Amino acid sequence: MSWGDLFDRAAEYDVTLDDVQTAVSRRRSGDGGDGDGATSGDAGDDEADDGGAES
Amino acid sequence: MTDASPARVVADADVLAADLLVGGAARDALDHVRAHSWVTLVASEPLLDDAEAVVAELADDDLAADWRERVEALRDPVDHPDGDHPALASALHGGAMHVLTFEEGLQSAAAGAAIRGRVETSVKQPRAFATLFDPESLYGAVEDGEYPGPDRDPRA
Repeated sequence: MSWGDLFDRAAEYDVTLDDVQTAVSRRRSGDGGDGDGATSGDAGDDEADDGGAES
Repeated sequence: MTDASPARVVADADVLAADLLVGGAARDALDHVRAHSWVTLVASEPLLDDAEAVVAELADDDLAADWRERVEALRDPVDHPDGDHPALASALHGGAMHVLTFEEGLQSAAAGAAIRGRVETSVKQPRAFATLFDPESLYGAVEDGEYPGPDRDPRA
C-alpha cells in the first residue's frame, strides 16, 4: 500500500495534533516509560549542539 | 553503534502518527525523507510500537497495521535497551543527527544532555526541520556529485 493510499484512508478520521500528543503521552506513561528523555548509560554534558542538515 | 550522519533522522511517535493522521508539519518533514533515498528514517521497534498503538487508538487496527508494514520498508531498524526513550535512544544508537518531535520537553537541555557527547543530535520541531532542510547542501555533505533532486515519489 502506498503512502498516498494510507493518507487518503487516514483522512477519514478527524484527528488533531493534540489527540496524537495526548495518546502518545498516555501510552508512554501507561507503559511505565519515564518520559524524561533519559537514555541509559549517558553521562551527558552541558554543551549545546544544534548542528544539522540546514547548515 | 552506527556512525552519525546528518542524513539520518528520527521522528518521535507523535510525529510518525501525526504524519499519517494529521498532516501539516509532520508530513512536510517526513516528505523530505520519503522523497530522498539517501535520507534515512531511523526507528526502533519500541518507537514504531508507540506510533502504531496511537494510530490504532485514534483510527483503526487495519490502518495501523498497513502503516506499520509501509513504514517498516522505509526505516532503518535500530536496537536499544528497554526503558530508554525510544526516539532519543534510536538517535543515539542509530547515528541520527536529527530528532523530530512535538514534545517540548524532549527539546529541553536535559533531554539533549542525555545524548550529547555520543551523537551530535539536534532535537527540533517538524516545522523547523521541514523549513530548514536543504537537500542540495546536505547531499554534498553525504554523497558524491551534484544533488540530483528528489529521487522518490513521497506518496509511493
